[in-house]
Amino acid sequence: MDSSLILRGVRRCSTKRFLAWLAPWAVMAGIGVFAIGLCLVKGLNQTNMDNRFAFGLWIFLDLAVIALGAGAFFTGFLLYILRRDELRAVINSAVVLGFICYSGAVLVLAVDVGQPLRAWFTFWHPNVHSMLTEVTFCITVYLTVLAIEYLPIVLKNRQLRKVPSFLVFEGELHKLMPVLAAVGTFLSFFHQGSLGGLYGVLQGRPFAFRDGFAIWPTTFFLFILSAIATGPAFVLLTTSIVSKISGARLVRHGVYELLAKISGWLLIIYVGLKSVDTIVWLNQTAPRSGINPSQFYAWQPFGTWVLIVEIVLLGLVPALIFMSPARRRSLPWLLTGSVLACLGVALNRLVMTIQTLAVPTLKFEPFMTYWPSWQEVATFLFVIAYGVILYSLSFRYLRLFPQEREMQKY
Amino acid sequence: MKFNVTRRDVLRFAGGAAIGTALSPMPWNLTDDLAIWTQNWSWIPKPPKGERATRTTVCALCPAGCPVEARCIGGLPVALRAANDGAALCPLGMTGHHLPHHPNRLTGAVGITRGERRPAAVTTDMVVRETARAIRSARAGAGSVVVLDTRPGRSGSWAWRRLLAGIDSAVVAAAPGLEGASLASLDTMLDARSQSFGLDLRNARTILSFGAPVAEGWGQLDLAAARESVRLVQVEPMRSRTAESADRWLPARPGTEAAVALAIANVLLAEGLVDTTALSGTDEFDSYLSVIAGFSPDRAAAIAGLAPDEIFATARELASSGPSIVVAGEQPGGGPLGRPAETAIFGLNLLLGNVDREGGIVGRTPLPAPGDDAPLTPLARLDEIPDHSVALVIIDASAGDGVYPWSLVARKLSPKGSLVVALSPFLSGSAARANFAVPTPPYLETIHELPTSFAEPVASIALSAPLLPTRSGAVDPVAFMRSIARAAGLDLAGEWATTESLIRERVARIHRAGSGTVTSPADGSATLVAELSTSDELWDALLAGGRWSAAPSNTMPPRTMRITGGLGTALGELPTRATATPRPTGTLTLVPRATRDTSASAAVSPVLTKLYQESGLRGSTGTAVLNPRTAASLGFAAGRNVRLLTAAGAMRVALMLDEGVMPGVVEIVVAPERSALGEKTAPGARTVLDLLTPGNEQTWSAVDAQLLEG
Amino acid sequence: MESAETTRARFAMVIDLDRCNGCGACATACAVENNVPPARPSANERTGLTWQRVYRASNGRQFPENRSVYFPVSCQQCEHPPCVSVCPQNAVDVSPETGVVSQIPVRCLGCRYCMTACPYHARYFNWFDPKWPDGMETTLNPDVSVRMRGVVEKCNFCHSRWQAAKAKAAAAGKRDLDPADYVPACVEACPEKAIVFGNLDDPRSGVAKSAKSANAFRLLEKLGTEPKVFYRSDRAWVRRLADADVAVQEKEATRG
Repeated sequence: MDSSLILRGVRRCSTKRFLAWLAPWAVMAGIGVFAIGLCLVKGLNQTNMDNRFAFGLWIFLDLAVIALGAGAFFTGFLLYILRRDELRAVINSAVVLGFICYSGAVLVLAVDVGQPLRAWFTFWHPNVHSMLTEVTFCITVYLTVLAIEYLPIVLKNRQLRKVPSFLVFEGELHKLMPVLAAVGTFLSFFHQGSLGGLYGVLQGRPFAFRDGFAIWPTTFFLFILSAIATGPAFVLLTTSIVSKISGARLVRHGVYELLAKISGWLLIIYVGLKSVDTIVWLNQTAPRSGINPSQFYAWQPFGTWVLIVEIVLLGLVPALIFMSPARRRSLPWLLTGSVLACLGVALNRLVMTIQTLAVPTLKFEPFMTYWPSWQEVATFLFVIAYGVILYSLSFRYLRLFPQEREMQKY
Repeated sequence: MKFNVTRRDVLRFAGGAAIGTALSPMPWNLTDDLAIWTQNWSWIPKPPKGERATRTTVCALCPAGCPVEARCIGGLPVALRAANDGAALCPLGMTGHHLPHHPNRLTGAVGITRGERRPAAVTTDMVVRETARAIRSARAGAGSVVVLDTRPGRSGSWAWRRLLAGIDSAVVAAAPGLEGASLASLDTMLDARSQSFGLDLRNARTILSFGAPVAEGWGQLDLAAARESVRLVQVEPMRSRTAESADRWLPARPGTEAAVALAIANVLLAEGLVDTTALSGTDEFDSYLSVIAGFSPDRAAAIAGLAPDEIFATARELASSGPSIVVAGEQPGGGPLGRPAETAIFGLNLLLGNVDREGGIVGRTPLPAPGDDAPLTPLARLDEIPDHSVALVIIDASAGDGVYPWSLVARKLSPKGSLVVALSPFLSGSAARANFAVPTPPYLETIHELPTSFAEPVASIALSAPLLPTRSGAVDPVAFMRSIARAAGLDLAGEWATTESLIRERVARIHRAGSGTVTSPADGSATLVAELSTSDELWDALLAGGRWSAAPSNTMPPRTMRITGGLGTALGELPTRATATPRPTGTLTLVPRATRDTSASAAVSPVLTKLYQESGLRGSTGTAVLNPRTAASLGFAAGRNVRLLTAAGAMRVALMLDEGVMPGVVEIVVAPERSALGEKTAPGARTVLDLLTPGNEQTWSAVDAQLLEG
Repeated sequence: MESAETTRARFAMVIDLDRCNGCGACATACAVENNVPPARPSANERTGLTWQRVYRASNGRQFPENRSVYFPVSCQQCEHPPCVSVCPQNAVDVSPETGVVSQIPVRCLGCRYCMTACPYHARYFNWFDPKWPDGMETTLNPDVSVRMRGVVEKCNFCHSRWQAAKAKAAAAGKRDLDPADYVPACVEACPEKAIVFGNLDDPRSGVAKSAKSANAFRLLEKLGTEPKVFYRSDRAWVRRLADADVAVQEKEATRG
């Protein structure tokens, strides 16, 4: 039925099967739309956030998907700026993933704020000292960049190509790519860092507060590093999952190995710096704020195990897997490493968001826990469903993996 | 001529238009308008506008009657504060102007059926007819008629007594657990009429209180101001605000107050610290001595869980730094301690010679009645009325309410049929338990009377002037009485037709008597009544927030002292709970805990959710508080929902842990119900107080309870 | 707005914790003065609006040695407020005239970043539409506008009372406010007179003297926020509650 839209020379499942695949995701998205509607109409009392947990599941989601979406800019940076041509095999997929992650994050942010209609006030009355201003500006601009990067991929669709001016336009855009990649890289470095800075500057929250360089707390750099370290792992992970589900070989194994190698080296640097940062924070920064750091981990479920899991199991272990050439040759090992690395960055964002708020500051305030409401979870799942649907459509009708056609021959 | 429009021309035109528009004020104005639009929603309430003025009245929400200065906009009060310098209102008083807008305010008479979600609208005439019918059948022998007065001593209270004077079986009783109710035990001991005593707290040097909330404005005592001159000893199982601000706190186990009081008497007598010549001749003194002998400080200390030294020290302090006053019970929400305990406690006043002494318990002449000396229905105590004997209960909650377990009233009702009619501004508290509720005007919508409180050494009266017009539908209680008189064929003489005209009669009588002074709230200046030429002048002075006080009477007739209050050796019988040790496994003592301010009103401002719902300061009603050790021994953790079980039933409660709670005790928060805070709930729903079945002695200050899973 | 230039001041309060008995009058007066709406049925102590919140703390000892202290906590009006620099759209502001940190609710987007920044939990979010029972809007304070759902609000030392005092001084042609004219609602309502309010820069003011007294302290002083709300207590264990170094409370509150 839709075969005329599908790329020549690749195998795709029947329309019926494709629709059957989309159906559950569409249901999930539908529930999410309802939940989002409730939050917008009735207000944020629909969530389990409160005055203490002013940030909740959604901010965690934003931070996590933006970190994972870093694969888009970083692959672009490696390809267009550092000229690692092997990565042309995944760049389109990475751009789509980035677009999904960023647009999902912006959408959830719009639900998360109490007065979404005033979101543009940040541009109208910006406070240049706020990390959040920086984040808002960079994300908005970068989402535009991602949209422009997405456009030529869409225009290369079999049917759209038939329009001559689209082809010309696409060609022009293509020439722009290195420029866009450079702009994207610059913006991304900044907002990934600013997202870390968001927490690092909280002088009133000793759990999050960090010393730093000039106006940037260490979390600024750690967030950039963890994002670019896990970005390639996320691209690796999604590519292999898509390959598994579609039953098509999409890229050469060498591409996986390269992504893993990049991720591994960056991860090991990250783990090293994160460890140093943790030691300095626990021994210098936090005590100076008048808090005994043992208190950070005195409240269950946030024991020191969280720290160990984050740094060792979900940081050091995937780094070592990725750095070993023997392990890199094995796809199961690569997948294990990627999952661990992605979970690691997610755990880091969860800890920074939730534990920061859970640890009491006033001695007469109790420790509190937070569990999201179904509306929050449904909104979260909406982003996932939206991502799956958009990616599935892109995969079916667009050329996300240039090597796919050749690979079919083997 | 021919125009050749190229693509370039179109683009140039578009670009120029864009730049031109951007340079014009239009987009920026639109943006600004959009900004303003997102900042103003039409459904956000707008504060009122209007002329500003300050008016004065008196708070009628509790018997204390604090002078109030109201800030008004367009004539409507928007803020209340204390009118006298240096004073402050309690949270209830500060939000009193919200009460006329309370969501559970009655707008018309209603019939209430238990279990129905909403009450049924009825006419006041119908309630009058039903009440008259119940009166007629009561006269025919169906049972007795009881008026439960939640603010005794008002002109309206007197009118009830006049109304029912023709009915043999009728009595007027004070609602249980009202402030000053314990003084009824003292009346018995001194063979005196009700209201003929006052506590001269302000001139006392030592106050020994057995649970009275002295630090919460009880007895109109400003403890903060009196700190330097008054020494306070608190005997109370709970670490209440008063216990914490007392100079000495004796944390006696619940129900052991009498033992502590008797042991203090034991020390006073054994050490010869008191002069007993006045008492030694009286009938009951010998049986008193024999009771006292059984309460050595060591034994009482063991019963109460105290150090014997505390009892010795308290006795010596009382004797050495007089004048002193010993007061019983009065824990808000916890009700009275019961007659034996009250008698044992007040007995200390007799021993110490605190009666008829400045700074002690002083006799006073009563406030003049509003009418002549025509026959009046007798006053009674609710516990004196036989169970299952009442055909009609009229609850006058028009001026306030009390906090008490409804079973106290329910057990009096005749099983052959009974009617409960309530007069109240709100469908909450007592009124929610009635069969019919008739709306009366709330505070600030009509004149309310603040008669002499139990803590005044002389008779006094203040009037709460209305600041708002009475809303249509509200029924004046005295007008309601007139309707009943007509419908039931009762004789109600007198000119007065409304509460206001009745109070005017009383004020006229005060003026006629010509004694006493009126004190202005603003500057404290006093005017002699004798200097006022007409009673209208006195009326105006009272409506402006003034308080009339009688001249102190110096001569008191000699008293008959009955130090055991007629109980004889029964005085020494303690509740088994107090003496039985060890307690059966798992049995806890349930103690109600409340704050004084809100326990006087059936409805409170919805804004008080700040204290009861939106912060942990007071806890919401029904929260059970346990010592963590007790909880651990029972295997419970905080935040859990547990079932609290007493002889009266079970209820799910939230559990809180607090090291300040006595081990073996479970404190239950008695706070305004959700309906009292303004939530629309089914009327007459069970409350935590229903778990506290009072025993025969009408005390619910401590009952046995168990905590169960889930 | 800037017409009547008054002398610059740094307003502050000192709360005597040995006097406070936790009656809640300050919290109530604050809600009445500032048109803070009553709670919705589903609101609780974590989603309520309490600009002035009274916390109970104890010495942690067992009955009967257990003793309470009540901490009335409002916005601490920090000299180095952690909430100002974080706001993305300048909805938080420090007045140079009064030193008061003010929230501009109509500019607030409701991102709640300032709430995560405040270590005193003094900022509150409007989780619900503000709603008073029918007719109760007529009891609102005409000098304070009602905030809408989805914005953050907090104590501003009764800004409208300061404006009124300023207007009064200007009308009388004076540059200085009469201290008696500017008293926040909580200070006025305290029956124990536990709160002293005034200008910290005026060395003759009661607040300047009390703030310097031996047993005065501030909450979480080591964070460097420099609050202008001071507390005082003669009890050492009470003063120790101001720092975050040792955990006292083992209570856990779970929701959801």
